[in-house]
Amino acid sequence: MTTANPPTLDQALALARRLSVQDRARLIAQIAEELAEATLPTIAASADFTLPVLRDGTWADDLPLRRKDRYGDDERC
Amino acid sequence: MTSAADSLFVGTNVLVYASWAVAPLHTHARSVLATHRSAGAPLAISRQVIREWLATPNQPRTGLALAELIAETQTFDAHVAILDDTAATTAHLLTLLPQASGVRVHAGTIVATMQAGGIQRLLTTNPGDFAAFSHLIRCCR
Repeated sequence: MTTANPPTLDQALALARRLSVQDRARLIAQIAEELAEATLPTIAASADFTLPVLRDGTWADDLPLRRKDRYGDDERC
Repeated sequence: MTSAADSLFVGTNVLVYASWAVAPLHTHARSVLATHRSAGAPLAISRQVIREWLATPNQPRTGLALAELIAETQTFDAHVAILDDTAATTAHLLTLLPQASGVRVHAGTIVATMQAGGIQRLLTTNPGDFAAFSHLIRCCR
């Protein structure tokens, strides 16, 4: 397949619509992954970690800190 | 230049510790996150982490006001990347679940979100939650 003349968006969509549902899902996943990789490094890459800190409140040892505490032993909740 | 593979996904518990001064591992969590950040690692969480973070200290016995939790939540996007639940996340989750015997849907969703974002490293105090997925991600402490 030549890349000299890349398809238009309409042509690409027409081609994508000829794929099976499974392949369309794979295409979506692949594109989403590439977009995420392209955009992620531009976010949250400053030098310091300056998230504000909550100063109030009282810690409780029985807070639901593990996933089994939140969703049950097998996370079925 | 950093890449998604260098990024670090921050688990809910670590975010709880890092964001709340009275948490037992607060200083340690801040230090670990600062170290990764100074090494150039972009930090990321997901919408699921935000929900779990809100649910954890939002208990009457903590005495924290809901307004404080909401205000803190609204600062997250300035400090960490927030990954959305997408079709790719679901597609990855449906592949992962059989590998975890069909259980651990919520931990699996974290891993699926990481995969959809191309992230391989997870900062967590609960690596056991992710044992079924240890061939896919690397847990850091």
